[in-house]
Amino acid sequence: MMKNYGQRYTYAMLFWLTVFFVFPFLIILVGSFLKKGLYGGFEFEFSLAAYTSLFSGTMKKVTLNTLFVSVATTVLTVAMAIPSAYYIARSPHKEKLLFLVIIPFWTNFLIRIFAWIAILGNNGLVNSFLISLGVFNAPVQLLYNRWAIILIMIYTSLPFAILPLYAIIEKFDFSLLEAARDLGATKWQSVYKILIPLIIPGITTAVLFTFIPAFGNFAIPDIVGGNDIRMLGNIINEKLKTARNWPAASSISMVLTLISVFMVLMFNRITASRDSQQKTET
Amino acid sequence: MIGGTVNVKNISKYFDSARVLNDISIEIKSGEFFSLLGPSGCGKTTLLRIIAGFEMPTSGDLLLDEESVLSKPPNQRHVNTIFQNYALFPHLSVFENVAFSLRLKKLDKKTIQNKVEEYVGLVQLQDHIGKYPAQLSGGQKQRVSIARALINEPRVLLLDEPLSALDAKLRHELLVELDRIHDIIGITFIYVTHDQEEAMSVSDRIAVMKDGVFLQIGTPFEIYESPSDLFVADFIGASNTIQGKVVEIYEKYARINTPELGEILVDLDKPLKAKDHVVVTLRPEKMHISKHCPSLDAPKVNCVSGTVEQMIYTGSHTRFVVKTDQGFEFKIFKQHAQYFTTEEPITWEDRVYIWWNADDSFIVEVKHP
Repeated sequence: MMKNYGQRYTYAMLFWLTVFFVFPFLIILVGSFLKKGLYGGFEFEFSLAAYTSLFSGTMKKVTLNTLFVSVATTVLTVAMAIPSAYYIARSPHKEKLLFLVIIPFWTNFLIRIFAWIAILGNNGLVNSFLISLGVFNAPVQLLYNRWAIILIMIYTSLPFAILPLYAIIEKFDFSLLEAARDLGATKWQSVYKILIPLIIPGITTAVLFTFIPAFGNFAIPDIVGGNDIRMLGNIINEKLKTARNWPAASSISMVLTLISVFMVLMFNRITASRDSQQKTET
Repeated sequence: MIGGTVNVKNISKYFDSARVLNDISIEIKSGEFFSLLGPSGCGKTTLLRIIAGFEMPTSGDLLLDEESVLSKPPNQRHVNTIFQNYALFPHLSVFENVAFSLRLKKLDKKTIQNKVEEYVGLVQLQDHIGKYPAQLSGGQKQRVSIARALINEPRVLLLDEPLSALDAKLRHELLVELDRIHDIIGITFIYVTHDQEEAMSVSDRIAVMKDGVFLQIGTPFEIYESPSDLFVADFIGASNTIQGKVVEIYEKYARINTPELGEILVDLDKPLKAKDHVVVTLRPEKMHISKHCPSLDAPKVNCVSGTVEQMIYTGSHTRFVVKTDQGFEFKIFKQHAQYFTTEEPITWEDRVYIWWNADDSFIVEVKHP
């Protein structure tokens, strides 16, 4: 009886995934092999034009740029999220601190990005402050470069990295760190040899939650990226809306999906091999 | 290997405004099996954590081998801890758990292999060396943590209620084993427990703690036979407590008038004067019970009559609770030393006589009027 119920529940999930994931994905996949319609849309004729256009110098540059931005974002975000999550998990004020992590979700994503323009812009808070201190005479261009994109991407993804890490560190037995210290480990050794290996599942989740949204992001580079810093998401956006080249947009989407899946598989493999290595090392 | 000495000097510890340790001092000798015994919240674990280096005292000093170690972090102190919850590293095998401190010292492979095998052998876990903590029983886990601590060759081993998570039989086995290891290795053991039987059976000396102070420090014999106060007497083993007022003193005895039992005779463990208020404890196993009044020709015997209220047969002895005619409840343990006995068996609600030798009571508290 129980088993039947369980199966019935999965039908809803299956339906959801089919309608909202499998069908759209198939449309993009098929569309990427069609000719472009005159005013957008597809013409039902097989063509590899969309894929040959991928091998241009611009595309290569944009792809590398996207990889750089999203990898840097992921590394920095997770590096910041681990100590934050650790601190929250050990704090007597857990609930309050978690609340602070969640508060940004109350404001619209775009508005929060525009808020950064108010902070980093030429007449923004940071520049006014630095000029008033006499560090600079004229405003410094803080926006419209890849570091601005990375900074704001870190800002938007930090909660998504902190929450899964918090969930696992909160369950971590801190006496293990004391045991490690007791056995002669320095603070860093106890973190590296005991804490990190035991929170790998949380790190994996944090990495995926950061990397995948960052890799496909187009809003942040659109608003604070300037003209020559474009990411794959921007190109898809342009192809779809401005150039009205749906097959090209589809083919880039396919590339984006493939690279994401590849990166995720690679990462899983690294962490899994690390895990199994620890279990067989005797 | 020779154990280190531990010298606790006037240590106090406050958590926020709560005082956990109140100006305590103790010298623990080299190679001693020393127990800190007390109810939960008495500060015994805090003291252990201060010695290990996980907590800083608010004031006072801590010497290990005559050298102050308060400024040293835990990894630089020659002490190791056995944790109550074992604290084994779940992602490492038994071998790697035990090898942990050796790997940090970057010893060569061969040395690590040999030493780990030696210490895993010491705790008799040779057959489990490749297993992971999740695959071990509670007792085996604690053995791993013992090997893991000892391989580091500490001068002092700190044990924080190491057996409290185990069942009674295993607890006893491991206690005997700890005692054996202590004899082999010869380092100083500081053992924290709330279980008086554990502490009594293995310790050279015991410190009984309550509310952040030591009530009594002594050998198990001293603590059991001459407790410093009522709390110690009550906490260590079972006891009967009688209060009364001294009527007169003669030779080495005092006659005491008690509200519940009338006049009784006690041995003068402490100097008394007439009219002093005294609290006397009486161990249940030193009392006698029978259906017939004993011959009372010996003047040092106290005898009262009462009714059996409770009887608990434990195999080796029977525990009686006898209510005297005045309403005082006595605990009495009767050993079953012989299989055949001509004595009439005692059961519920029987009228019985209980008596004890005046030398077998102990005066724990004296209040001068």
